[in-house]
Amino acid sequence: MKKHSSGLEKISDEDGLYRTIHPLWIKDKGITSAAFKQRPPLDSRLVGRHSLGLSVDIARLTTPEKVLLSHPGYGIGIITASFVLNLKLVIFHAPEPSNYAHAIVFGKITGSMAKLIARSAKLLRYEEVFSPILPQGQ
Amino acid sequence: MELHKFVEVESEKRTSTSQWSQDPIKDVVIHLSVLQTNVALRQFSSLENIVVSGFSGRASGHAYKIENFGLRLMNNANEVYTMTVPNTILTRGDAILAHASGQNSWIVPIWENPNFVLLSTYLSPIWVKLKEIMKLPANWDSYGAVPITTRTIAKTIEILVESFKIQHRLGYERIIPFVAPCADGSIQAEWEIGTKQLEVVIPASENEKISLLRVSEDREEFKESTISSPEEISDYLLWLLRE
Repeated sequence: MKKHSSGLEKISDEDGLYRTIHPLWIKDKGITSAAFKQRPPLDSRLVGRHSLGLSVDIARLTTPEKVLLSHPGYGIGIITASFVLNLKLVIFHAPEPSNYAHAIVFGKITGSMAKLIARSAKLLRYEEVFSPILPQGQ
Repeated sequence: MELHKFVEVESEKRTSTSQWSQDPIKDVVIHLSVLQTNVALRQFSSLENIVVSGFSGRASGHAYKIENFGLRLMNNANEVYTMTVPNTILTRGDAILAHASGQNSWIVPIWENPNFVLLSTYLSPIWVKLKEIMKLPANWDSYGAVPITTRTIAKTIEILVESFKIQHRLGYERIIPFVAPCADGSIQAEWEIGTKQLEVVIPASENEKISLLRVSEDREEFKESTISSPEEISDYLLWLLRE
């Protein structure tokens, strides 16, 4: 139902997006805008996925546990697709072999835009995702 | 290889007066005779504002041998304070932490350039963070981010020192910025005072300008601009600091 004819997922206003947040991006109150800044790499030999835009995961196609599984200490920045689309940015589904949920926010993300996105983002900390399960009665 | 080994140095105060800790220092001399090099000195009004930069060392491979490396500080009563680094070998990325009694200082060899940067105590919390940033490997953000170079670290320190100079001049408490790496190898420093925020991005490339974002939360105002050198940040910090 939410698929393009190409087989790729359609992204709607209601979609949530997950951005993996490095521990150095976590502030006392929220997330630094540095987490949402993407610029072309300086050295073409170092081109990574980030050169294409801002990598995110479509929330309905993954889980916080999956996103953070191999990233202890990291967090997740949860943003809404509608907020990103209102900034005149484009989001497209770009599945990867190991991550079907992968999507890219495409467009020039200015410093102001990154700041707005960071302010709108909700931080989900690693400890909240993988909270220890206590035996019953404790 | 251990990247950031700290060597505590012994300090020796060669003065008979007790004014040292109160008087501002007017001069700094670095003895680098063993290294046979020149040091460009920038003089400031107090120990907390001293930065020595522009050091160009004699490299032999990836190691420097420093013998009896002395640091002489002089206050305006001409009292001399000498710190001596014991014979040691510094390898690429090492840093020396110099302790003067009651007043900690930092000597940080930045090897890529290389520079020696002597920083004040109150930069040490940021230095802890910058050390972490320096250690970031490729793909540290899981999205293909590039490592942060020591050149960018050194530039960031220049910006921070400028900010502390201004705060000191205006008599402000030290406002420690939040510092974070960016995926493209740049570093972002953020200050927040009341409803005002200032974000400064120190680029990884020498060809790029330093970009700034001023945010006035009460007016919902976002202003972006660029500067070419760390010294130009003063106007923006004044905007942040003043009512």
